[in-house]
Amino acid sequence: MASEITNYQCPACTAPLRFDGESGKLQCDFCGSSYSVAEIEALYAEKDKAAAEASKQAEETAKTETAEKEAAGWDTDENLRAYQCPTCGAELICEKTTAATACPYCGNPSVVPGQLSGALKPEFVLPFKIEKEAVVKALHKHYGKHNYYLPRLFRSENNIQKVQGVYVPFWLFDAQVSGLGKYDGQDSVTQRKGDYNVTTTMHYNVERGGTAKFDKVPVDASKKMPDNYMDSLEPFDYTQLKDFSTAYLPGFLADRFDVSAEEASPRMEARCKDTLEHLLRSDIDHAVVVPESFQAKVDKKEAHYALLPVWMLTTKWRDKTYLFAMNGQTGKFVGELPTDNGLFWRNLGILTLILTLVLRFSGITRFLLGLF
Amino acid sequence: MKRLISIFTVILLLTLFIVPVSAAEEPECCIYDLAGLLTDEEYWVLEDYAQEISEVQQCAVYFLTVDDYRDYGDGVIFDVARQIFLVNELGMGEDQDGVLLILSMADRDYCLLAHGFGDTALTDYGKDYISEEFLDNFGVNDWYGGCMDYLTYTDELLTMARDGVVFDRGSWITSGHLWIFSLILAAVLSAVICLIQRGLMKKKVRQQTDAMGYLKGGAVNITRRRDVFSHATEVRQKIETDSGSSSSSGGHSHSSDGFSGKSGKF
Repeated sequence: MASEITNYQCPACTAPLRFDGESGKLQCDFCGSSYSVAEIEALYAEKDKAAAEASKQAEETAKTETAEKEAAGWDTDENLRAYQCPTCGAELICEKTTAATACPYCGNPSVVPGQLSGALKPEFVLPFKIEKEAVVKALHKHYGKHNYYLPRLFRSENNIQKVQGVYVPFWLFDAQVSGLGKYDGQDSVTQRKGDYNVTTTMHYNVERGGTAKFDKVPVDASKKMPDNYMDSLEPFDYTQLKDFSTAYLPGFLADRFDVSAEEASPRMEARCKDTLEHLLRSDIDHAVVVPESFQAKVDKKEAHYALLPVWMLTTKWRDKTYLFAMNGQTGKFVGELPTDNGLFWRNLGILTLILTLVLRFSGITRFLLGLF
Repeated sequence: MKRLISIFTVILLLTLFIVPVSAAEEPECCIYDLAGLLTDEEYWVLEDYAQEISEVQQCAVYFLTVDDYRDYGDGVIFDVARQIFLVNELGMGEDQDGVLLILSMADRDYCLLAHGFGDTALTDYGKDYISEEFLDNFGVNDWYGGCMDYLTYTDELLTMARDGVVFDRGSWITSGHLWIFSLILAAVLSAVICLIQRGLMKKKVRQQTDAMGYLKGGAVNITRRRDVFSHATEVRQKIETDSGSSSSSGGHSHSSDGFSGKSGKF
């Protein structure tokens, strides 16, 4: 029976291959050979197909077994799946959405083609460009040289727990949105009449309607990934989008989507409507614009399923985990840093002391008090 | 009686310049009511009070009312008040220490003039302070009350100056005040600076709220553009001017011969 997992192996030495972002090729770290994506696709097409078929059958079998186990009163977890590593034979326990991982025993990159085939097959993939070494450097840059409130021990002692390259599932929406906004436009003129300044304000009933087209608005399709982190990584350069191939995945983790396009759509719609409202309002040429109402609807939308490259990095400090993310294509780095309250109060105290002396002896306080 | 004294003294001193008040002695008269605004009783109460202040402070305090100040000299009311002071050698001692408040009824002008120690004690800020006190009385034709306020508050400021504290803007500020206010101000400024700094360093991760970067063609296609005039509203705001106000603050004047004054309308 065919394995559900494909290990991309070097045709020359059978060592595991990994996708190298810089060269855009699959690289063998043992013999130094490199292969284009097209070459590996051609070599592994049959194997991937067989793995996908095996995966489908295994899923059917798993469903039947789960039902039998449940009937017998066994505990089952629908969110987990078990695979067998084709290289070392170890059993890999993965989440049911896992599409690419690495065997914890032999370390070989493993792809589950069944998770990314048929209806689950992504349309596009954006290959990694940034290598793992650059991520840690980017983290230290992210701390900032003059961050006076970053705990010193966080900077020096903080332990990087995990650096993982992940192909995150995204829905890229093409959409057309139309809307109509109503506003009160106001223009004022002030004239002197005798002993009075007379301000006359002209009010206008203003209406602006229009349509706007949006191209590939991204919404992450993974429940595991925090939305605010994924949004903060934008923008991605879509000119580098490639037709999907599992050959881009070895060496990275990947998940299939677990948020459907319909579930993700409201976030996209809210962003597009907000943008349209802003654009219509900026078309109004009155000194003051007071919004009265705005209505918008999505006329057309089309969702494209894509995997986008993200480096996820977690660090641990004082038993708390801090999450950072980096755009695997552009290098944009995001993540919240801790602040040291002790440092905050110390800096506040020192600054207060210095300013007190400056204000007292520069005469500024005397001048300010003299105004009263 | 008091009117006779006033007329006799002022007319003689202002026009003939032959009977000057001795500069080293107490003034013979402090209240000159040529416009006839005070009753005899009021006059003597004020005169006694002014004499007492002048004696204690060794600084003559005068109050003069006239129908029109232009009858007594050329220029604005400050110039005329100065001429009256100089020509009649008003004031006490070698420095002619004195304070003179003149009311001119024709256009309801006033001038508070100070010289010598009077000038030292009554800074511009001090003159404003005294003026505020008497103008509300003069504004409602309370001549006695206004003059009493003038004498009382002038006495207060002269006393302060004799004690070594000239009443001026910020004269109430002590070293303790300076330390306390410096500390409060520094704490507020430091808190603002530190909070802004900490906010900038925190690097918050936020969800996107717009899709401007994904707009196709970079623009919106406007399908409806309508601007229809609906109505107009008008707001009238009175322009505040100094002239014409019964409680005008007026202006400050200084001369090279040691006079300072505040004049205006009442």
